[in-house]
Amino acid sequence: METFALVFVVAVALGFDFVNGFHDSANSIATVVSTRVLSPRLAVLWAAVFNFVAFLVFGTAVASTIAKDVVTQEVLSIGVIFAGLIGAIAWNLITFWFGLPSSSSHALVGGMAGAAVAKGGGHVLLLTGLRKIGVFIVLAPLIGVALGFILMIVTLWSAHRTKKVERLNRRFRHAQLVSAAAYSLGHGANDAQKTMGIILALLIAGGHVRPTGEVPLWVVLCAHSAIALGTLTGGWRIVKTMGSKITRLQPVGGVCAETAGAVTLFAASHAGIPVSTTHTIAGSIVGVGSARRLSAVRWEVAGRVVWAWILTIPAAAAVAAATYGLVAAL
Amino acid sequence: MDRRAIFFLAAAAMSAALWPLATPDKRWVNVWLSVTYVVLALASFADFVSLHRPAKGAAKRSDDTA
Repeated sequence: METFALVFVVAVALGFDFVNGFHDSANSIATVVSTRVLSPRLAVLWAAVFNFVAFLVFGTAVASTIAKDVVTQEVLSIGVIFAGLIGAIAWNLITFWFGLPSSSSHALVGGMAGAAVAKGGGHVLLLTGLRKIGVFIVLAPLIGVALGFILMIVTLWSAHRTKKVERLNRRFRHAQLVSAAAYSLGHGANDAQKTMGIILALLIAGGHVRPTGEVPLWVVLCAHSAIALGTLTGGWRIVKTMGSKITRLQPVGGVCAETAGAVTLFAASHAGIPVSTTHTIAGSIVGVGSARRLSAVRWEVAGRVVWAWILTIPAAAAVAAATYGLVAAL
Repeated sequence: MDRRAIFFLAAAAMSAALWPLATPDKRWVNVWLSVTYVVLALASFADFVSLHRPAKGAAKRSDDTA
């Protein structure tokens, strides 16, 4: 019975990863699609391939943070992780329905924390790990804004002799393929590792992996396959918000935004910090937009996004806690 | 008023305010980010001033007319 439950929750975790790819695919391809460099179908294929191959480049430090630094190992059980996943998936679907680019990562952390607190009380939360994640909820988009702004200024300055904007944009159309690939690589690395972390926590809770053990290779491959398949399926409501509603991007802006996002994600993945890929690219787009002028950014849309960020952790935690109550009663 | 410089200063302040909450091994990120935003705010303000300063020729022409 326990093995069946374990396999079932691993399947739910991979389902979360699939939904994460589906939900966040917009982040990887929004600028490529909105600047018409690739058709939507080709763009998702391009992003999915780089989502998958990310495991060849990055380690599993983020997975380790999710499995070991959010809640104490003693409180982890199949029921807690299942409830946490349901909280995160439910919140992702709600924000997807309303077209809000919220964070799957923070939904997952909120879900895990909510279910664990429902089982063991507030003392099961690991404050050092949560502080690390919490601070970077704010810092990740700020880093994206700064890098996006600096890259855009440097690019425009270095190309200021080019008289025709059309010629400059034509040059950057193909460069966008490289920057979108880099961003998808970063997205695959950081987000797939969150699911790996969940499955690692499950395996530790079930006694299949030692508490100090590494992520098994089959988990790495399954997580990257699930996120790549989710990306391939795509989510078009959010493409619209990210690609054109925050600020209208030209190919040169797309390259700068994706490069800024990719650099932030590479650094975070290397440091083992689970950051939101959504926050990061939204920040980079705002940075690129504000290089023209601050009024180029549509702040009411950016504001709706910020509200979704603020609500994500408590909302996912509440759904997860309620789900754990149901699971425990059964 | 340069709203972009104010936005960058607010970002610098937010990053600095989070310094005590950051784990000791990651505090350098807050420091670098705050410094970067202050530099960006100064650069943005300088850009704003240079764009809004009336041209010398224009000032002379208006004196002649008077």
